[in-house]
Amino acid sequence: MTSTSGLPSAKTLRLASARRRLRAFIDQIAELGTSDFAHLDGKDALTFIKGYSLELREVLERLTPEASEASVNEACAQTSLMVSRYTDILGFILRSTNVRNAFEMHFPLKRLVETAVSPDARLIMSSEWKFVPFTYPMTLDWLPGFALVGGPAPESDNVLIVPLAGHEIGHSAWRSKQLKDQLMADLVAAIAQTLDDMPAETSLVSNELGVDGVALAKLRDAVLRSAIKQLEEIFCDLFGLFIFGRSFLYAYEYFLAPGWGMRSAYYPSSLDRVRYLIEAAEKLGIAPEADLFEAWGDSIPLKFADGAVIRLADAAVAKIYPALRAITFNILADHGITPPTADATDRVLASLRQHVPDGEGATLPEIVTAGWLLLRERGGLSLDQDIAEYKILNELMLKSVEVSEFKLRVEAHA
Amino acid sequence: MLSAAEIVGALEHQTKEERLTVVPWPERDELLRKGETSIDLRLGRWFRSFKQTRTPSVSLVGRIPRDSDEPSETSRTKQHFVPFGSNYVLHPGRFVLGVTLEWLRLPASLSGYVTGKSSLGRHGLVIETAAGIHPQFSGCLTLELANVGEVPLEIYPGMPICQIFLHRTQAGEEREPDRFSGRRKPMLSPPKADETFMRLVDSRPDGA
Repeated sequence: MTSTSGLPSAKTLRLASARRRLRAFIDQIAELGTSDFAHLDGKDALTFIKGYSLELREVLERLTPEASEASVNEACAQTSLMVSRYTDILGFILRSTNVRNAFEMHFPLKRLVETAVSPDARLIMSSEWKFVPFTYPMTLDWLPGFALVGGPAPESDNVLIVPLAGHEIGHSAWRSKQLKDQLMADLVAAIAQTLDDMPAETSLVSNELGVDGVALAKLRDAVLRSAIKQLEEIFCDLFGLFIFGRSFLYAYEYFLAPGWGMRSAYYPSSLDRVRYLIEAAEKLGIAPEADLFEAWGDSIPLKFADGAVIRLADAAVAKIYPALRAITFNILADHGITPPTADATDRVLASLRQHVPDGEGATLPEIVTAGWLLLRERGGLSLDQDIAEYKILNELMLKSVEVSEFKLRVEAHA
Repeated sequence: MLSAAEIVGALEHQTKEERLTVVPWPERDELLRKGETSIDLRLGRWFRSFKQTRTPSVSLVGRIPRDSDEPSETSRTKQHFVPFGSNYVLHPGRFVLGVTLEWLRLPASLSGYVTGKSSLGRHGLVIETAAGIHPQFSGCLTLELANVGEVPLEIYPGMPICQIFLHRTQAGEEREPDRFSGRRKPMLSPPKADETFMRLVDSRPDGA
């Protein structure tokens, strides 16, 4: 089909562009497949992406010059969307092969995902240059069984920040356990109660939206959206805390201190998060240092009306929180996961103080907790003269992690 | 040279400072049963191969050419991680740095010598290490692995790759250990400049 200029029509050329873009994308997958994969999950992810890309290519190839404009446009839009979205993922997979990563951590974290989320779950650990953090907790259409967890590139071999991966893996558990559905009825009731309990906030927002029943329904929806997202974030914090013990608190403080910032409606306020963490830590028998979160500032909502919605959501969340904590801890305990033990942590700490790795097979949380304790008793190891000691601490933790894997593999086949 | 029983004694020494540390621990019963005077060490998972670069040459006496930056580990080599169960293929004529799986720490009273295993050497795998291990060394041992045979060789992380013989050192002046030097990856340390040698090469041909 040609245009009035004698050239092929715009529709034909648009389709050709989509085909070329997809071909380049598929070629790139083949290129990435030749990388050195330390773990097979990344390579398997490429196979899945390639399979779906080939299906999409078939759709494009089936479109003849006589195909309707609407069909061509839909196929082109779909191609553009998927290529754009999964190019990001290809980059993530490529970075997962970079030797800057501490590949030793994959084994214990993969076991955690298999135990706490699904025995069939896959894990890709990588790094990112724009640290958001990058995480896709089994939410990608083409990679539904894959949890993608990225650390910040300059610190992608830093064991001390790995407890934060516990939070990210928590998002996968939130979905796989369908906790949103589980909590919904109680949350709706809590919101209704909260709206009654806080008439000033309710009328403030309702007046802005209007005074009819529609306004109240919109308000309930807004509060529900905020509250359910907040509960998910709190669940993930508790998930990380239960698994990694006090090291989660240290890693959390390392990354987010001293709070402040703009308040998102989808996160608890920075002070509320800390309050929930401290309360849950005490339930677990962890006594955080009294000054650990000292002088933290709260995050502030950007818009006035948001503030009222958020206050209502916060109040509803506070009502649900005790049940959420119990659910979180029960889920993990039911899967046979236990917090780091004091005995093992002390043993690892004693080894690290001697500048040797643990040889008895500690868990990753025990090792990283001991690492944090040593770092803190050594004053933070941030000065120039501390660089060598700081580096060897990471080396010793990673070697301890590797030795645990070695022992588990050998004992599993004894 | 320490006997099997003495090695086990050093591994179980009550005093931390006098204890020989090998992690993962060698099988004590196996050591005693075999009665050998060495500890087998296993191959680790990190490798470092050499790559072609713009580096014109590398001085083995610690001299840096005037118009050149010091070639770093990163610019001259490429790292590889091989998971347990997979292998690294070392082709004939090729050379790669490997590392022991074990982290060692020798007390001030012990030194060691590392040698390859003859069963591997017969297939062409030569394992030359920093053969002498000084007292108070701490870390994983970098292994220089070369295939001098005629067929590619598969080497696996976790396989026994070399052995360490241990010797008791005479009591003498203790040196301050470099407590933070240990690494889990193979290292390519730059050669240290020797003062005497430097004076020799910097002297004028007429000896003035």
